[in-house]
Amino acid sequence: MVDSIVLVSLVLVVVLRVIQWVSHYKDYVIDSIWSKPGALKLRELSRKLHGLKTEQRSISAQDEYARWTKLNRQILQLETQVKDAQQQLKQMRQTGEKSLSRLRLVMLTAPLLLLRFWKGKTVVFSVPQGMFPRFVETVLSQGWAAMALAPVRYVWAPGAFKPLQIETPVCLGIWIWALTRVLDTVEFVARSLTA
Amino acid sequence: MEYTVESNLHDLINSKTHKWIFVGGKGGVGKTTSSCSISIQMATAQPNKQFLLISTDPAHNLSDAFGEKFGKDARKVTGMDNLSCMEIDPSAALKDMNDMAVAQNGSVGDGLGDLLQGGALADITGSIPGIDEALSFMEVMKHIKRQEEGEGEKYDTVIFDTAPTGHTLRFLQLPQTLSQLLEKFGDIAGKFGPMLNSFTGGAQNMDIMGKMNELKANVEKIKQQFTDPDLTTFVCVCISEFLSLYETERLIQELMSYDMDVNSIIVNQLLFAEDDSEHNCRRCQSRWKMQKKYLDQIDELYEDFHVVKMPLCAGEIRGLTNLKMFSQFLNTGYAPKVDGKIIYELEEQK
Repeated sequence: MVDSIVLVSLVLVVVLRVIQWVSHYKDYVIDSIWSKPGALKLRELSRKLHGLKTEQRSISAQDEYARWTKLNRQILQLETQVKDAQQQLKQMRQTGEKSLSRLRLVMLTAPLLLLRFWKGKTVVFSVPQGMFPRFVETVLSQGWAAMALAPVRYVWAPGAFKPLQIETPVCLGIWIWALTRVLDTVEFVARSLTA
Repeated sequence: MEYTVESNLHDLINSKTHKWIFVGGKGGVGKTTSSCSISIQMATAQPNKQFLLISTDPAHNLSDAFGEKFGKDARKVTGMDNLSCMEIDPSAALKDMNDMAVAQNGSVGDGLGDLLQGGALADITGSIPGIDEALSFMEVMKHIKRQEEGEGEKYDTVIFDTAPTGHTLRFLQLPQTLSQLLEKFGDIAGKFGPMLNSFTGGAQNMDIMGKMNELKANVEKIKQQFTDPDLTTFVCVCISEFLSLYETERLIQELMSYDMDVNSIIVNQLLFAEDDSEHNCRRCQSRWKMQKKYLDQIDELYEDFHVVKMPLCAGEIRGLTNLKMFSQFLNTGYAPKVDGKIIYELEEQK
């Protein structure tokens, strides 16, 4: 049971992170799923426009005025079409983006949040007692809420925390947090090395 | 059936529907001569109609072209019963505006009144970019209003001798810009209307909203008329040189983007050197060769336009007689072999 919860959490965290990694390719992802025809049309128009501009630059306006002007007219026409296509694509992308973020919310963020709420205190593994200061061990076993609740607990039962068992359990909430941190660090290192 | 376009302005000259004709192009290509010529030809071809030629160019040339003085009020051309001319003078219009403001607001001794007495409003307004075009536009609106109210002389067709391209495009953009501006203003004024009215002073009780709505309706009417090809057309004037053609193309594209009808081009100052027996010098020949190169390009680019090729005359085309002689080629087209002698006849008349 614990293994499957951990596995599900691991999958959710990693998938969320992967989606975040590909966020700069978001347009590409959205284009390939929701707005492929629009993106293809824009690419085709931009390619044509570039070709016409290159051709126009290669000729002298004064020597071949008619040809130059005809190209100019085509360029003006294409520029309008490109503008329209960009506008259409922007609308399609907005729709796709909305669907994508809704999908992410339903499929990943919400389940992970629920998991952290309901199974947050599930023990993933244990560390020997006394390895960390008592306060840290309390957070490890009961999650971040323990830190927020520390003053209340002190008022409720003043005095030092008593050891309850010989091992300190590490709960799912903290484990997910630690996993995210590790992934962040790995990403930072990878980015620094590739930059 | 193949449709061929005549290389003259016969259709336009005899048009019964056109109310607004704009004549424009780059500076120094003969816009004033062309607009005068079109007006004269139209007035001659349709003697029962009244025509008005308005110059919206801040550097007016109508008086010079006809050899008589025209002002801000329409006056008939001497020798023509149905053609009047006027030159819109932005500085005079600004002075009028200033005087009106003085009459309404300023009494001597109060600060604002003293300031306005010194012509401050005219000075400030005169420095606004595009004010010439705005005033010309206002003149057109005033003219329409007068016609609707049946005041003054009624003109069937108004021909505009416009300023160089940039000014003209701004002028023609004004209905669009004003319409958008008034639309936005309407939205805001809808919310703050009563407050705006109270700002303008309860005693005078100026109904800003009412005035704005009236202006908006007038602007819409003009916009509608300017985009109707039966009522409005634009005649481009150019010379057979690269920069002039380049600007003409820009003008045509802009006009088309405003949905304005443009299907006539007058190419001025052509040498027709091979048919000129008297002055067929080397310089004329090589210049004519260059002109022919660009003429071919014009024919290729504007095959569905009325392209009228007009000759370069030996003297200045000034005065009604010279203008009449020259303008006939707009109606019939210029045939260098047959009509060549007129180039020198013009020179003789002073």
